[in-house]
Amino acid sequence: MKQETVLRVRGITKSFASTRALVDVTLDFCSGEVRGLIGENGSGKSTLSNAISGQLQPDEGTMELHGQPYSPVNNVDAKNHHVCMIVQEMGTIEGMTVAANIFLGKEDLFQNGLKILDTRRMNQEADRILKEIGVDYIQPEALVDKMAFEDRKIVEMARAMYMEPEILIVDETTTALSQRGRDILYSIIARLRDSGKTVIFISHDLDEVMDKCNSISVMRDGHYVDTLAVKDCTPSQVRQLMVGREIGEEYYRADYEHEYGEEVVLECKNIHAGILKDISLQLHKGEILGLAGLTDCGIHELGKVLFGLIPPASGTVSAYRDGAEVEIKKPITAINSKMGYVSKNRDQEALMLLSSIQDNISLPSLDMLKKGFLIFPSSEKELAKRGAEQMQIKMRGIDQCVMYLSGGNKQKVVLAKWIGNGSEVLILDCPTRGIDVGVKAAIYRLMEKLKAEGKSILMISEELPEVIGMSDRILVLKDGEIQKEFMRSSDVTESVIIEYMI
Amino acid sequence: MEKMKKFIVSAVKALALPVIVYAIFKVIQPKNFGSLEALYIIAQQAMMVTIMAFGMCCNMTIGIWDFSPGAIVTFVGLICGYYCNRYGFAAMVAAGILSGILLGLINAAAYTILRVPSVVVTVGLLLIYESVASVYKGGLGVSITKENAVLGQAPWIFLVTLTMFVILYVLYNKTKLGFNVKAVGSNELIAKTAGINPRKVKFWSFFIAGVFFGVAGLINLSYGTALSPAKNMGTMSVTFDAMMSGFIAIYLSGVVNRVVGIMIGTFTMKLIAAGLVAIGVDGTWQKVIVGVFLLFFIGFTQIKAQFNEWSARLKRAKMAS
Repeated sequence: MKQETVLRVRGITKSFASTRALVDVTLDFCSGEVRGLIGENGSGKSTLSNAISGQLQPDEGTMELHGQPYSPVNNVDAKNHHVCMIVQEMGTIEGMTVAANIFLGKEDLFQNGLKILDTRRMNQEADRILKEIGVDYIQPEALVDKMAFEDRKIVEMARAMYMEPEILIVDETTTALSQRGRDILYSIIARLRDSGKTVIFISHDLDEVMDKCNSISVMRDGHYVDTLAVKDCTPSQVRQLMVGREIGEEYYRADYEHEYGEEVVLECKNIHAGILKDISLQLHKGEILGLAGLTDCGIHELGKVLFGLIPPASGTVSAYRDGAEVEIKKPITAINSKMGYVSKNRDQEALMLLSSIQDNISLPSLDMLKKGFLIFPSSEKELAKRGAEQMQIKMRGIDQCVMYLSGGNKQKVVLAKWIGNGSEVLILDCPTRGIDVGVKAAIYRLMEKLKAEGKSILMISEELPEVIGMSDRILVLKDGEIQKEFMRSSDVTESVIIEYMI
Repeated sequence: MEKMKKFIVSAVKALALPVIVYAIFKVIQPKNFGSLEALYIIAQQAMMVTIMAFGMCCNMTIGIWDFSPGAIVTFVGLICGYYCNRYGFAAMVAAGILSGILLGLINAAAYTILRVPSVVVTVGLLLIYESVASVYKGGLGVSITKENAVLGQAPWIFLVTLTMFVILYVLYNKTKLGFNVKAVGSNELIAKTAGINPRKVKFWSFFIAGVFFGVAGLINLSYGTALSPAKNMGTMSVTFDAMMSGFIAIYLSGVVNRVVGIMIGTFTMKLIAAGLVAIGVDGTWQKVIVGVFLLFFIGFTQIKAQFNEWSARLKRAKMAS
């Protein structure tokens, strides 16, 4: 079949606050091809697919669909242009039937003259579509509530197929599916390809991408790197393209020693929780322990389990202070054991946005500050002031509302609150996420200082250079399991770690 | 055959609630409770609240708290009375439906324009409606003649309710709006990405509610033949009655259609009220019991979700060990 260019992307740029998610991306997609889109976390592949499917609008650049200018204002607009996307998260609505979910927003198709819906025809049509994609075990009139995640994903696939997509984007869907679900998805992809449509396939699983795609486009740090034909390349070539970024050396620790105390300060044994399977680890005094992995591999959940925010299905978390063991089951026990937790979701989980810098910093220290049952404003102010000065927060005063601070300064407030209450163990989940270079460097210096003071840090990060650059020891997780442990050394590189991540 | 069996099973499950309530009171008070005539009267009493609860159905599905229905029903009743005595029966019916639509539009507009939580909007409107009603045409209250009150007596009261039942059943289960109401109520974000405009859906939901409250106002006046204005949130108790039926319907969903569940709900609530009177519980304690019932049904979904999570965790732990 002769391939034509279906979609042209020209010079697309997109920024979020200080982060440049996409920089001048230009590439083409052809008819009758399955194109893999691959890159590390934060490489821009999701941002690109969101721009194509109308979920967000680029700051600069243009797109052309079948030679016509294409700039979808939202995903409904994109769907009307037959550009559809199947997403990672749940996309079906509870309390409604399979058929109603497939035709969500398209109910008009079944209206009769009196504006009454012909539900019988709706069910028949849903049944037809499901059968067409090879599914005969899902009843159109069943409620989706009791259906398994996988079957609900299949309902979404049916919904996308009904739109007769010219371009179908599949975003990290396969990780959640069993073999049966995958086979259905693969057969949909093959059918679209054979009928001259385009599939953009995003997956972390390089083997899967190599197996299912005709060609692979690699993204790195928001830039488009290259497109390779699958038949002419090897997995290691693709990996090389994914990594290989310039690293500002002065940023991170200069030493290559893995030095830390013998004493264990935090430990978990045989943790099972959600995706996490049988995780055991120890954090030592004066150690920076890095947890590396892909977004959905369980590293973020593990941070929450260790701080008592997610109760594990089985296994225990223990903190050791002055030789005594304390089992961590709730955040309050963790805080009392001198632990601090910096969430990845700063604005939702780490800060009270509508409160002042002072209120935020003093929150975990209120017990420490109280005399009898009173808290004197002066002591609260003093604590907050000291913390703000130590962290060099750029502000008008400690009574300023946190909401209006920049990302970097917000993060400084979060750190100040845990340092202010004298935390000995810090769990930092993506501590430099969405933060500019200057503040990043300041946070790295702070981590070194804390380490020198004998404090322990568990750093969870999706950015490999920072994990490699800062950690004494690195644990790599994949699909909820620890794959590999690395000790700090100059031999540990991104390409070595990535082997175990993907 | 399979379908028939399924139908019978769900019918038994759905009717279990009123039957159990009936049985309890019948055992305690076999003489003064539950004769056929008494049940007939209870059924008539339940009709007005049923129509109100029908009106609240869409809003409750979306997750909008509306505290104004009682005030609207009272206000509409007073307007109906005035027009009835002035211009006759037909004018009363027209005035009831039109004023219901008008107040529904005010509700809808206030909610969509102000963008404040529904609780705030509707409590504000409740106070306004009650106060305006209390000064309407001198605020003396109205009464109508028996001939004009025919819609409030059997069989008409049942026929009107049946008509409203059919309208809501079709609207809720067989129209685009009904589908969109359920979608927005369950997951607004997904609904939005499917091209549904949640604000528009909410607007129409309020509007439809207004129409039903208009009819409920008409029936309320016709059933009692006299009506006086209420103040100081006095209309809340009837709003709660209707809300309760909605909660029972939610409790029964999965067993029986929401619209049918509402009817079972109002009848059950009236049955409880009559039963409490029959066994001689005084008014204050009746409210306590109704309150406990309310908390149970509101809490039910929450408790159920927690219970499911807890048992799932237990199962996982068992599997892991």
